[in-house]
Amino acid sequence: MNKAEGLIIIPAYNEENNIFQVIQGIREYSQGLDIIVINDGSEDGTGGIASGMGEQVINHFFNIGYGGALQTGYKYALAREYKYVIQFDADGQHDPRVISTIRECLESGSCDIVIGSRFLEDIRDAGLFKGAAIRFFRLLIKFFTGERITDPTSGLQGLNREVFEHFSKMGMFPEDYPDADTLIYAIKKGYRVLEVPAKNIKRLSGKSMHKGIKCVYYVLKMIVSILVVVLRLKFEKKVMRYV
Amino acid sequence: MSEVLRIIILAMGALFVLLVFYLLVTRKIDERASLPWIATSMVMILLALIPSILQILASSLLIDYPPALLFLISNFVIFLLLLYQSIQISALQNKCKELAQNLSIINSTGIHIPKGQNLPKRKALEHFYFRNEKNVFLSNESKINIPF
Repeated sequence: MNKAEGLIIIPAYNEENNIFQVIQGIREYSQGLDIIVINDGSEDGTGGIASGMGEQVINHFFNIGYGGALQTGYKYALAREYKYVIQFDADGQHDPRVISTIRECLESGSCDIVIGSRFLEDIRDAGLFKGAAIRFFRLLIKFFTGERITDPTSGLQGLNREVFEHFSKMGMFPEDYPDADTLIYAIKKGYRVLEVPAKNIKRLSGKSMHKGIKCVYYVLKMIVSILVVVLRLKFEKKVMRYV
Repeated sequence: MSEVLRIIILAMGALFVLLVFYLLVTRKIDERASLPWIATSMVMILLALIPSILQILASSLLIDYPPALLFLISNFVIFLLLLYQSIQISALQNKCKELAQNLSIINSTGIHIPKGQNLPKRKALEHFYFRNEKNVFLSNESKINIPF
């Protein structure tokens, strides 16, 4: 049986230069929590380094995507009956000290989803394009849910069991970028979302997954996903009335 | 429509039906996926046998040149078939991802995911089930997976 109540999920794809420091940082601030690395079909030594450090690693046979890797973590957490999960990116941009804050919020039961927000106070650090995209998604979230979410693209999140169980099901979580669309869905479903301040650390090494033409694709895809989520929720409500 | 053109269209339709049945016999296509293609070739054969159908339809829609209507209909059918293929690809991709995730967990940790854990809740399944009953384009596999 598990000794820990919570699980830290680290989705990793070609992060051999960062993964060692990331795990070390997490270990320092996550006493009593288990760690799982989801090696999402990396072509480098990411999985080997993580397992060499004594951490549990799940190796995907091929690259599924960031969301797919997180969902594998949810499935594992559900099978091992963890009470909550904290997802932490392997690129070294998250501050591991925030883990204890997220953990406290989830253990107190005051919220269902905790987001480590990099822009709770100031968004200027985000850069021109990313800042504009984040502002746009903030507006959409506010419009559809009435909630103010300052960092809808943050990968540093904590989810309680009810939420990750819901997202672990087939077809309930996007396999590429789970961001504003997933948040809108969660808020509309009645899950309580809380943001805590999280300092953004400069990427240790490697490339961001939102680079070049992928940025444009990301924004377009996210707009479609948000519309689909809103329509789907409306459709579900209507069907529920007749079932 | 000239006699030669009618014979060519008739032959093409017949060949198409034969090709689809050959694929069915050699198990390269399943019965459900073959139905739209058989229907398409039947329409081709019907139009070759009774070309006046096209002329009547075209004049009722105020189309001066009947083959233009044929192109319009065939384009629409092709779009529908492509959309159907995209639905199938998305469904297969979802299933493939699910299998890969579960297999990775089993392979890396030895933990077997309990039966039914991966499926959405009963309510959601009921929605899919009722919808599948009405929609012939959706796969039958999802019906088999329902744990009730």
